[in-house]
Amino acid sequence: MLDLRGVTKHYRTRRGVVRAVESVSFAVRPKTTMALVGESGCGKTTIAKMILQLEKPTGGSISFEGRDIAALDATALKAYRRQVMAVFQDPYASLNPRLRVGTIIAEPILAHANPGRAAVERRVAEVLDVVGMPAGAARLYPHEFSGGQRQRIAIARALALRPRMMVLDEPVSALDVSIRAQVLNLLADIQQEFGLTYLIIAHDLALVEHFSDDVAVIYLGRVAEAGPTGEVFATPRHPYTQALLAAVPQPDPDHVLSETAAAGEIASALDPPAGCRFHPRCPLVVDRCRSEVPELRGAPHAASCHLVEV
Amino acid sequence: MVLAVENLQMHLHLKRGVLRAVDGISLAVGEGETLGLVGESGSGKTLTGLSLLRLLPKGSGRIVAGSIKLDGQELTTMSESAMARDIRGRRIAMIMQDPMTSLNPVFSIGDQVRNPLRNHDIARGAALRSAVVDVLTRVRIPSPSQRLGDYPHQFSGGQRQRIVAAMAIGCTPRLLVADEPTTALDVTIQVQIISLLRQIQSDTGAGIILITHDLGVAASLCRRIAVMYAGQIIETGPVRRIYRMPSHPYTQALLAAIPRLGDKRTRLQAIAGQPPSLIDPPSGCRFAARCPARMDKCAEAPPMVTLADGHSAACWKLA
Amino acid sequence: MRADGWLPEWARGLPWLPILVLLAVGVCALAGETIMPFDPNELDLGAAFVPPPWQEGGKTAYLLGADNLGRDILSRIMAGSRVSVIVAFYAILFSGSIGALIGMVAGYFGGPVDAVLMRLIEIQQSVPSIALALILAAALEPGLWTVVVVIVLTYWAWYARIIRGEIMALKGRDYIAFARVAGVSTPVIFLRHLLPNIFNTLVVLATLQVGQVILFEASLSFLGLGIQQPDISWGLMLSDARQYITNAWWAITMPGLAIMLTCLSANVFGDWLRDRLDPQLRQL
Repeated sequence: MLDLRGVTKHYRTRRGVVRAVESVSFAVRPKTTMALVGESGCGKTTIAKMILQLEKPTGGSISFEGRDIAALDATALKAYRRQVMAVFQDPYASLNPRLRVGTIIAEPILAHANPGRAAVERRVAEVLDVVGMPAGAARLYPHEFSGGQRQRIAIARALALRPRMMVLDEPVSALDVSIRAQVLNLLADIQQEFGLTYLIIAHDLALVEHFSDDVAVIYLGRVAEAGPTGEVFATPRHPYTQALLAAVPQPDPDHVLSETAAAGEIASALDPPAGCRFHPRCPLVVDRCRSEVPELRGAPHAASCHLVEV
Repeated sequence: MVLAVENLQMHLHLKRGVLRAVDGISLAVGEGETLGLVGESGSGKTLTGLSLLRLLPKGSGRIVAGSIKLDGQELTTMSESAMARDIRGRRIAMIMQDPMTSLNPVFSIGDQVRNPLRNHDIARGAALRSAVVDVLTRVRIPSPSQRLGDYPHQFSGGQRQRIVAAMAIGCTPRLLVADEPTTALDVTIQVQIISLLRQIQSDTGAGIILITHDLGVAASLCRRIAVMYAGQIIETGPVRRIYRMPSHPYTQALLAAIPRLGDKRTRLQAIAGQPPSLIDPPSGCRFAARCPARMDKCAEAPPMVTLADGHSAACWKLA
Repeated sequence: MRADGWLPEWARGLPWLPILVLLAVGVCALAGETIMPFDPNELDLGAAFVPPPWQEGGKTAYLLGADNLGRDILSRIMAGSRVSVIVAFYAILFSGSIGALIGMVAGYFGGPVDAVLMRLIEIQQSVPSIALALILAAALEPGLWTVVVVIVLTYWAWYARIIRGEIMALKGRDYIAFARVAGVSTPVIFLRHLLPNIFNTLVVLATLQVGQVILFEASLSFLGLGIQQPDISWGLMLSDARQYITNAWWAITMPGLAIMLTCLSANVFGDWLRDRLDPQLRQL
């Protein structure tokens, strides 16, 4: 459904060129969940922004259902926006505090056509019901709701126009642990019910394993590893993926966290290391890694590392 | 016992009423022991930590009952100046969540690390400078003597948190309160800070209270866990017992709600509802409204039932 | 709890004195004729230089004294309030609207649009307002509307800069990002999301500007660039009374006090309003 090929994004700043995203390629199959995982500064949010057309790629192409989204004319762009919606991380910042919930949810509907007040109200009530909120919520303001409830409202808002795909940017990171499960279960339910495709950005690997079908691990703007989640997590090929998995604390006192797997700091996208961007931190580094950029090889489980036999 | 807290109650006097943020907490931390204070937002864990240092919101926060004893010395009755001079930063230190706001952006790190050492008279003059370099080395900041003049923004998030740790351990405190020290950090950096905290503990023998909502982080560092809900501790015990045999329904629900690596479940177990308001909390068990095992008796406040060695939980089901 | 416990929530802690002063000014402006003791333009040379009642030779009829032509100062002050209110109203309305619009466009679109508008703002703020006033007074006829035009041209940039800053902070908000993702058109984003969220700032800015505007008008009229005889303005009263300051101190002091009191009240009220609506604007 969504196909990224060689997508690149460079920002020109006063301090130089920030190579936020470099030659990223992956595909999202319809009605599945694809997760983009990575640490801060890896570019996953930038990738999401490009998919949502909030930014334009500097290079490469993004295709939605076979059509290049950069080449869409105004009408087609509007149609694209109907089909691809977003849910953001911070439930306290993603709803306009001055608008009532009903208006907030109706916003996407009204952006495309106005089917009349009654029809809009009906749809708002419908979609509030889907996310498990009472219809009366439409009259209230966001500040009257808790974080978890606001996130449900944000989901309702994204669902209003029956999109084909939703980009979920850390949808539960800002929520309490016990509320996360509620919202994740809801997202899973509506995916089933409405045949949605999800692109989820997350840093919580356990969540990603639980929730997604495919995963792409991003490090400093490049795809380190990608493939079906179960496989990637069971047999990670890229040293960075291995390091990530080894560094995740488990709610198990006997689990040993490995610190040496990824020593040092994440470099800056302003001046990324030459060759493989992970080489300064990689425990398995060889000379070739310092000069030559590894290609993403293998399908469906791919990794970009010189030392991986595919 | 480095720290012994008995029935601590701290209330916030707000315009809309009195919020019973910390409502009867009792805990203890021994030498070289890490106690995990685990709970979600609004459970009162951060305010408990701040209460130990008496760093309460001016005007509204008040310790209304209970005792806090550091090495046998009562802190609740101490004068403000004695707290500032002897306790804060000296015998109890704190590391907070966001290193960006813990460090002052306009002062060099050398200045900031030096301050507690100088204010508490740990060292003077030339010895001061080498003490600063020494503590920065201990927290594994590379080339510390060259970087004394650098400013916080010149360091990464993980390094800043190390600098904050350096400020905290410079005076060799007896107790270190770490409030969500890794939440703002990336996973690969988090593991480095966890290891740093472990090392600090084994080097100095200080007690550590780790305040966190992350059950994974708590499991990797703590020897004992106290689970907080709605201003109260509802279960406490050795880490293995809490994770393997959680006895309070809330603890059980919490552990069931988090996804784990390698876990094949298709659905997470959610906890319905919300925590109660702390301005007018229910008189009985505060978790009763959301508890799947609720009974009539839960309208009455449950006693803390001792289950085994150091493991107890406040639930009628266990009584 | 407190003495005003009987008042509804929104009315507690109101700065009563400033509000009363401002209301008094407003009432005078609207319905001054009905309450004035004298006709402000009526000459009575017999009553020239009558001091206020508490001084020797004063008459209670002339509560604040009379000027060199025997005109009652109190009535003239009341009449002058109309000018102050009209000028303040229109000047703030136009400079606020124009400034806010320019600030919103510059802040939201950024890039070259912002660069051009920022240069305009900077140029505007480098031009001394008195010089501008002189030029315009020479080009147009001095009078009330000239004053309004000068103020609008002087102050729009101040609004624009502050609103631009607010918009730049707002445009990164997730709900704006969502609106763009959902296909909401830019004008609708401006009206639905940006405008309501800068409204508080605008109200506070407007209130704080009242004092500045009144002073500005008074200065211009004082210099002869603003209101002209026989119209009455507080600034003009100051100018007229300058020469008599030794023998009729009240003729210059009373209008001066009127200006000061009104500005002070407007500023205190503006500060209170700002604290009430959005304490984060404290740096204004």
